[in-house]
Amino acid sequence: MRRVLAWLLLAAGAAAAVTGALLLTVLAPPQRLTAATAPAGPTGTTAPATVTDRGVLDLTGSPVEVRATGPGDVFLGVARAADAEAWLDGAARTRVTGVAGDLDDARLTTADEPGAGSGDAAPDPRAADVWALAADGEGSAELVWDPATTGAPDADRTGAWVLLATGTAGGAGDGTAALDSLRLTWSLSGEDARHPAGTPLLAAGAAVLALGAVGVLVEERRVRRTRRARGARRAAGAGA
Amino acid sequence: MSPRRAAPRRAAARTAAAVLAVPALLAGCAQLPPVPAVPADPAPAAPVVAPVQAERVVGDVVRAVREAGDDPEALAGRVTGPELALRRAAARVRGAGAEPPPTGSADELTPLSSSLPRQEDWPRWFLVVTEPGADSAPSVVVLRSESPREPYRVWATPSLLPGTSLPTTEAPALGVAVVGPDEDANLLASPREVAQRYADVLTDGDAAPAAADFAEDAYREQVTRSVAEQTEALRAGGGTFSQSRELLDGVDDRPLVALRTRDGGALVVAGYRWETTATGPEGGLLGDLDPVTAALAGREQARSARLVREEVVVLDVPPTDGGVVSVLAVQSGLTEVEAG
Repeated sequence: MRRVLAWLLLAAGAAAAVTGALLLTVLAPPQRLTAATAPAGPTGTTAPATVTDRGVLDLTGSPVEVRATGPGDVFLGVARAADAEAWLDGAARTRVTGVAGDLDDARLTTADEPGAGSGDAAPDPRAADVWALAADGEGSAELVWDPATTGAPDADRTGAWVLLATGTAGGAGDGTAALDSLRLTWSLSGEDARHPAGTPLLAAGAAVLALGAVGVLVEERRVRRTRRARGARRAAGAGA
Repeated sequence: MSPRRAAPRRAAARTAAAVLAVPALLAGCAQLPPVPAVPADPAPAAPVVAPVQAERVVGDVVRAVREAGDDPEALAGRVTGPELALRRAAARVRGAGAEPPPTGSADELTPLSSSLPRQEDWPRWFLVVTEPGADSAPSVVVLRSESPREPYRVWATPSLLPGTSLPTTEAPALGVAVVGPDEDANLLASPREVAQRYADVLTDGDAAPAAADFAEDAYREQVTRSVAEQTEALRAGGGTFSQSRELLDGVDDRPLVALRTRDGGALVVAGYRWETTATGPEGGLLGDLDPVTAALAGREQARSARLVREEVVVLDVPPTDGGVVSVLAVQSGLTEVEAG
């Protein structure tokens, strides 16, 4: 039984070590995390303006690639959180609150916030200058956000910047309209870019493998000694 | 194989399979990163307009101004205040076939450096120093945004006077401290007071009580000489000359912009509306107006004329123990004429 147990330890250790190594290499998580909103409607973006909560752009490493599609001229702008809030001035918005699902199939979680104060819609965002980075295009827009490029001393402060995205209702300067989709892609870095079980499996597997190897060696020697002793006893019995 | 020997082996095989399955299951358990906690402590002092944002704004302004040309409505999208009044007057003069006189406005908006204030509220402003244009003088461009939903517009572009240079301010990335209109901490006087005193000096010349607080400058000399010549000429012919100068109304009770310089002083940008009235002798003949005045008046001869000029000056206000106020840059030109 001890021999079987030793071989089991050897096999389990080898399997764990190999799996750990695979998780750190070929089975490592994707180096980028892409998440999109659900299609427009009750679970997607419904308000004229879509804005990320503070911290969403800082989910993991920079840069963050943004793509949005929607009606008319689609606008994307990154602004200081307070400036974006001042620009919205109580307008209804769909908040992007975070991500859900798993790394291979993540989706943006959203929450609708009704308008207050100035009403539901906001004016054409391209007329304002609160955006540190902005892009627009007919039907879709894309930008790549890296706070380090702003040159601001607090650029990397978590939650300093938010993204605002809108479509337009009837043409340029004609108010905002809900997006069809919004997709964010982060570059995973640090712990986020490694499988959490990879290193523990490799270390534990190596230890169990070593333990199993020692057990197998000891058991094999014991079995050989036992066989030699039996052989010697049989030979002595035959001589007598 | 007997059933008694086979049973432990099957158990061992099951155990081995279970042990081997655990790592395989773990392979599918990589987790999504959570949204990081946002610090509750206040943000460090930083310019509200990031350097890259200022570059983008100035680029948009340059493009819009170039495309607008002399179209007053298109200009209003990116130009306001004295700059808009001067550009509209110049367009009217050109439209009448005359050549607008130099006003000290920027002839080049390409930015060389910028001063980005640390301010949260609107209206917001920032300054850009431009490359020297055809007049070989860099200009100080004042850009203002009245609300979060309105763009920055060029408010004034006074050009540096010969022999002057701007004092050093903090680097754009760090932002500069804003000095309130009535803040006089460590200053010769508050920005509003200094601006008012310089208005008096321009109007009254050396007779102004605060004349000694200001260094001699080319613009003051030019204004004083021009006023003396006109007054003398009209008096000799039996006419009269009068003038008044008041601080330009700003927005939100902020008639001027001021920022702290590295030496502890302040850089102040102030605008004035300078009104002069020249009246010929009672029953006298009509006099010919010069082409620029005639273009703005809509007539070529008059017995009297009320001229309105808009002036923008950049003043270097020293710290309490730092000497006199220097005039660094000026923009001035006719914007309205009413002839009778």
